[in-house]
Amino acid sequence: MTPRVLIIGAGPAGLRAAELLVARGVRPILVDEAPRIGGQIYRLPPQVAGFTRSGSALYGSQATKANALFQSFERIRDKVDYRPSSLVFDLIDSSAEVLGENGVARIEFDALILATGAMDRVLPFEGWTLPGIYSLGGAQIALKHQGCSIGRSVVFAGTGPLLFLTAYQYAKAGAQIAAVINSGPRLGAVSQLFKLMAMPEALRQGMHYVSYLKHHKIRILHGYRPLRAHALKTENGSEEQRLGMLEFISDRGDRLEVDCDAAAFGYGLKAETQLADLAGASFGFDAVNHQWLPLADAYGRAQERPGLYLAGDGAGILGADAAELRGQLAAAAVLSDHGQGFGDFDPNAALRRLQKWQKFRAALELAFPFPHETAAEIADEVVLCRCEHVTAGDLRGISGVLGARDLNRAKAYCRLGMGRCQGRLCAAAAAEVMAAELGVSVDSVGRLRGQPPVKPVPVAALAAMSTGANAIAESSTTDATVEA
Amino acid sequence: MAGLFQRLQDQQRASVEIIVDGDRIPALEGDTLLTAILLNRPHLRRNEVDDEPRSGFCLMGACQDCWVSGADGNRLRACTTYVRAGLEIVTGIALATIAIAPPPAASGDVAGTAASPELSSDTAHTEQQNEGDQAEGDAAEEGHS
Repeated sequence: MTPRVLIIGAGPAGLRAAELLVARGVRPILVDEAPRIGGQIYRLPPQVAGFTRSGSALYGSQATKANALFQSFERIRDKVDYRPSSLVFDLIDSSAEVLGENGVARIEFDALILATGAMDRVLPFEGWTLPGIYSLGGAQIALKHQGCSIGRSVVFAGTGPLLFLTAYQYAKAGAQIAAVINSGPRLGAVSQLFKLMAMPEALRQGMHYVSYLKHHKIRILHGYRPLRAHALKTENGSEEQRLGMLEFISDRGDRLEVDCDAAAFGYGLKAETQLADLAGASFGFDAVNHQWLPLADAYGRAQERPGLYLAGDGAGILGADAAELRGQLAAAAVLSDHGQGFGDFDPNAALRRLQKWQKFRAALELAFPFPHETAAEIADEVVLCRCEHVTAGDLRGISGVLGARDLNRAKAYCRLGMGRCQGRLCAAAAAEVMAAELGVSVDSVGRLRGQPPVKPVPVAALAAMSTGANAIAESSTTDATVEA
Repeated sequence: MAGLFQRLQDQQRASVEIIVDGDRIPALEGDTLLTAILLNRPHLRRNEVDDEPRSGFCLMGACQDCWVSGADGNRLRACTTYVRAGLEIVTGIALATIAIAPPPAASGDVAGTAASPELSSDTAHTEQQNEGDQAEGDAAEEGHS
């Protein structure tokens, strides 16, 4: 029997999964929150006259891959039940609850492929909620999706490939860059750098971004991380509530100040796993990702949860090229588990290629280390949870109190992670802060449990669903971030 | 006050005007609300809990730190909502005023409130995620019983 397959996410993993399923006669449902395909990595501008940038202007050296992906979807477009602008906000047994433009729908499935992608991993610093400060991914989206720079004079901070890529894209687009400040070591000083040769083409591209920035006389520094954002001082000495200067600190305690009106920072990426949690995946702490991840076999079959498949960066960060392979592998697993072959797709070649990406990824962690140990130094007054204004001091104050030795208990006591983002932004840093305070390893404070709805949904939409009315009332004024 | 964002590319698009806190703001078709507002202002909204100015953060619908309000009361996520001519936006200052207002049921009896089809007390509670507001709401309920 042909399985009913639901794919969540229309980035590289979801699109390649759909392609392989269609090739074997399955018509998958592909649900994506964005109005257009591509995910965040190949995000397209809105479909509006006047967005005229070419693929190479948008994606640089990745344009060929992006175009191939878009064209492959064009070929199968009418063989996929594609539902853009649709948010899956809950998963119950073998059904998904989806909020689309016309209200809430329930989708039943036999197999679920989660291709939910990733977002920036951040460590808060003093003043990081000041207007003008964004994630690196956010800065990149402002440019790709809107043709805008996040400010007049932008500093790029943190670490990871996205640091240099985003700075390079801003420089090419003519933005003014105040500085690019890598928290990690100078690349030449990384003794394991040769391991990046597992993927020579990706390494070459990274080197190209850095040399382009140097060639254009853009200041690049290594070994400093953001410490404090200062508000803009006006000429009469008062402060405007917007970024004016970013202060950095090195491991040796050296300070550095950079004037800027906008900043983008991040420390690599973290997998988006909330739907995997609701789907019933088992989780394990992954040392390379430094994150709890859904457990799966090499194809992406979830452990102890038949019918669930994980693909792309949502199953652990390996990048866009690997995501295409992981989408195909997950689709192959679905087909195989339903007694079907997968044509000329060669899973062994894909698995071998994936192993190279895993080696490359481990090497990237050495080249661009996540400075998680510095979470212990985050000052008490620094806001960790930007939704609910919970500070590092608030979390430290309740750590160990009344048996609070894990993040979920801490959440109940101080509301950290209870806001609209459901801990998506603060949980990684909060785990580090709490573990340091308790003097335990980060995995022992656990992880915040996923809660539906994973993103805000109007109460009226939920009410309409429960009464069977499949529409959202025009008058809906409230969104629910259901906590209990 | 000067805006935060700067246009660099794809600027030949149709003009659209939106209304933000009563001010007319020029925008281009295809702008998100976040883009349109931040091209003209240094911040986007105020946070519901600490009332501090914010300008969004992730721009990909993940951090939920860019919600503004339509003039009709509908909540709009500014990084994933696009401008349309005449759209009226309230950036959060008015929302804070609503949040500290006493629940509309204050003068009525509890049973009447529960039967009310407008969901008024539930709505007020979900709106009020701030601890202070929550306490105020609880106190008002105790007053009834």
